[in-house]
Amino acid sequence: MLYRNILLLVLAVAICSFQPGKEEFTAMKDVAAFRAGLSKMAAATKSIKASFTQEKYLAILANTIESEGTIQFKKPNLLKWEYTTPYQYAIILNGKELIINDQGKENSFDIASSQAFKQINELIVNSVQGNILDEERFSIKYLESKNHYQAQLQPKEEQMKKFLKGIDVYFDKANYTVAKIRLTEPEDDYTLITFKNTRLNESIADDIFAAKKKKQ
Amino acid sequence: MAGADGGLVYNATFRYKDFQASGLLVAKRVQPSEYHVVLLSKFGVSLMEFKLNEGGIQWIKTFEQLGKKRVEKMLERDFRVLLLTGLDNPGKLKLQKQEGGELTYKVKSDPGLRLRAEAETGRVLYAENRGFINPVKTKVSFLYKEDGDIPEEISLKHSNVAMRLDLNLLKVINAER
Repeated sequence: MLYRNILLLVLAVAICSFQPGKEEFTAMKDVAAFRAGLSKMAAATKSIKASFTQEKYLAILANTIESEGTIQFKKPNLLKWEYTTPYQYAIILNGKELIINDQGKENSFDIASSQAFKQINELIVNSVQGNILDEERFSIKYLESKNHYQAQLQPKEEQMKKFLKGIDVYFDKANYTVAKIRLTEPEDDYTLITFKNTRLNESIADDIFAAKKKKQ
Repeated sequence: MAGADGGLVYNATFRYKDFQASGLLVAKRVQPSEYHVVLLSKFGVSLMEFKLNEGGIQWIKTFEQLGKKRVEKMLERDFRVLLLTGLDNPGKLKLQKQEGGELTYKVKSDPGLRLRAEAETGRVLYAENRGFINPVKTKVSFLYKEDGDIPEEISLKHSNVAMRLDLNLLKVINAER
């Protein structure tokens, strides 16, 4: 149960990450319009490619811990989240399996074999498609600035609250794509993931979402 | 451990038989005899966090399974050998032998340690815990770049258990805070 919630937390972060700047946010004026815009964008999106930077802030350290990578998503439920610097690590979801490639060593798990993996799969795919705002496990507050919409998600489940204080998801006002995600932990340490060079509806081959052994 | 005053960040790979998992291990000395240790997932979420001092492990965040006394004791011993806490306040450091440019010491601490160090630089190359009944000994090897005194690679193993932890240095944080 705990392991499941940790995984859910990790994956929720992975999907929703973006960076907050010094923008001033106020309560969103038209939440219905924002959600409609998001749904429209999600419906028109067949694939997403982006690179990201991840910064981990720990109160005990004077500097953040940085990493970089890429994300590739293809409808209906194919996702590859890959770290390339300073380590090689990837998580792949292909509807059937959850595959972790850790520095070349692969471990795969059958999604259907576990309720936890099913939930992880749903959560990730919903997040990538912008449907995370329908998640009933979070209460949501809507804000906006000049350039971004912001959804502040707070977990309702006690188990998740032990590991997660909140997820702030920032959407680009111009096109409703996720710009950054900030995951705050109970001790106020946080992870900030900022997406850049986001491209929609580019061609992505299906085989990047398969386990290595199946490609050979 | 050298360099831990500002904080050290390692890529941590845990292996048990065919299973492998990895994360980031952060260790910082916050007092002369106290370390703050955080284990992060690759996605940045902290999974385990504790302080290690003369009183043992003080958990900040943990798994239920790690809170068990026996597991906690083993974890404490592993990290005491890994972080060489016995050298922070060595009660008795006794030279046992000198051979081929290496010195072997016995350290009277809790747990007691046996160390092998380079005679020229003083860098610790290997450490293990001592004990009369010691079926699952913690054995840690340290590897350095030519000029550095902070271990670039650390390998922790146990005798009689097919489990190992490999650490590769990612970042050294300056002691500013």
